[in-house]
Amino acid sequence: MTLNLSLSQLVLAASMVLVAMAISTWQHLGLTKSLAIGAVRGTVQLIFMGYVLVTVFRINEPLLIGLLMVLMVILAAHTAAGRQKENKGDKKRVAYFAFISILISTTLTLFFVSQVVIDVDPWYSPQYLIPLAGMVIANSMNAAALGAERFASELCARRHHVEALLALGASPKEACEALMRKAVGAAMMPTISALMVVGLVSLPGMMSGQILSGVSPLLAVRYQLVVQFMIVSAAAMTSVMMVIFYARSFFDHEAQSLDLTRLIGH
Amino acid sequence: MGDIFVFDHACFHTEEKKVLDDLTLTIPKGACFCFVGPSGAGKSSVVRLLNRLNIKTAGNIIFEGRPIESYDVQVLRHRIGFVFQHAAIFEGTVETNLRLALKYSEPMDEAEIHSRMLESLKFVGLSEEDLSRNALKMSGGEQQRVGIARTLMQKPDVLCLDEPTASLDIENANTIVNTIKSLHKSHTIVMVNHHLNEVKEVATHVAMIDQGQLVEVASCDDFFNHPKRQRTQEFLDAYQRYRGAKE
Repeated sequence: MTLNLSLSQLVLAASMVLVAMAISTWQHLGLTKSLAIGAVRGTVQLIFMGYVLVTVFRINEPLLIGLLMVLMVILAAHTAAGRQKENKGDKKRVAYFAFISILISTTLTLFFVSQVVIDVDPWYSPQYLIPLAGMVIANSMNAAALGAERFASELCARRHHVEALLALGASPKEACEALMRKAVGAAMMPTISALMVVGLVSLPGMMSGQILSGVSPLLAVRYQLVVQFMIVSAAAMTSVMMVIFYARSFFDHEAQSLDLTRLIGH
Repeated sequence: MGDIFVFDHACFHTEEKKVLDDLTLTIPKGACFCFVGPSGAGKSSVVRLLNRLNIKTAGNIIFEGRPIESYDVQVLRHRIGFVFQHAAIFEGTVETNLRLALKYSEPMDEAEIHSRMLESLKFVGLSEEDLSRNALKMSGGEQQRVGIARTLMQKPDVLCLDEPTASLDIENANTIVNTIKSLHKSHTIVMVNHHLNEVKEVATHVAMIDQGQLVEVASCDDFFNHPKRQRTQEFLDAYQRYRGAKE
């Protein structure tokens, strides 16, 4: 059984945002405007995405599906770069490395899940690929953003130690491997935490959505498990690639010297 | 004895600044060569160029007759030991920190490692009992000595010291100065130091750098007693006034 949702029901649901806005106004939280903008923006974005998906599903053309996914990766890389704090001046580089890392990890995990695990037919079926890609890309984006941010802050804080190791003859990789491990750990932490509490504290959106639309909870759980495993794998690949690429960009590899001028000036 | 280092029109420019411009000078083997000058003059960059922690953008730097780029970086860094202003002590004991120096070299037998540790500690006035101490809980002066001992573990030919006493109190600074004096008996020393009283005590040669340019290079005696450049005299006078005001 699929429960239909009419427009009037949707408008009724939107009234819940009014409650949040009323609380904000009453408590002088200063969030009323942001809540209103957020609600309108989210609605427009999702409706727009709905129409895009309807069109993509109808055209059912692999090239178009591929382009849509690359666009999603570009937006994710841009967002990851926008979240950098200590390394604000380094956004272009972060965006570039995030794009490569997310693209590779998404392609690999999606290929494995859609072709080996679920065996989607045809292989480019947008009904499967796009929602799966959306979930992988969003989680990879968080991993890339966290990995880069943490690595930059660790490198600034521990630069004397890194240089001391270089001066003792360590290679750039040897000199910053401890920092890289910390950055990858920080990038992976939200994904691992989510895996720990899934089913206990949180019922994931995709699974809830499936159950609400009438799919058996046991089948929904199976799909959710596939998604969780896919996200863990993609987040691990993204964070490792992101941190390795980003770390390498701070070193001159021929001279094995560290250049932090773009983060802290000379 | 000959020259161990030759700077031949060496430059180090970044996108924003000419940190060092057209530096030409020689450092004799066995010297204790000190770079002095105001803060931000480019002194630290000079010594960092020697083991390629900074990369020159033009000119040549020769080490024992060969351009520094012709050496394997690891070999160059083992031969030119570097001591930083911040000792960069790692978690663990003094022994952990000393062993770190050999982590990136050819494997060595345990007896040799132990004898190197004792020799290095002796140089800096520490002893075998200190090996088991928590290095992070030592005083700033002791940490700096551990930093020097760690560099000595590699048996470098040259020791570069970048303001090794800048963050120490007078007593600890004196200990480090005495250590440098004893190290000078067996090593070429290249040092950056803005404490001119310490420079007077240890240097054989002094070079003054200002705004990325070499102002004057002379023997220690000539530099302090018969400076040729007006800028050197101004710098020495300013230091005397600063010392007088402090005392």
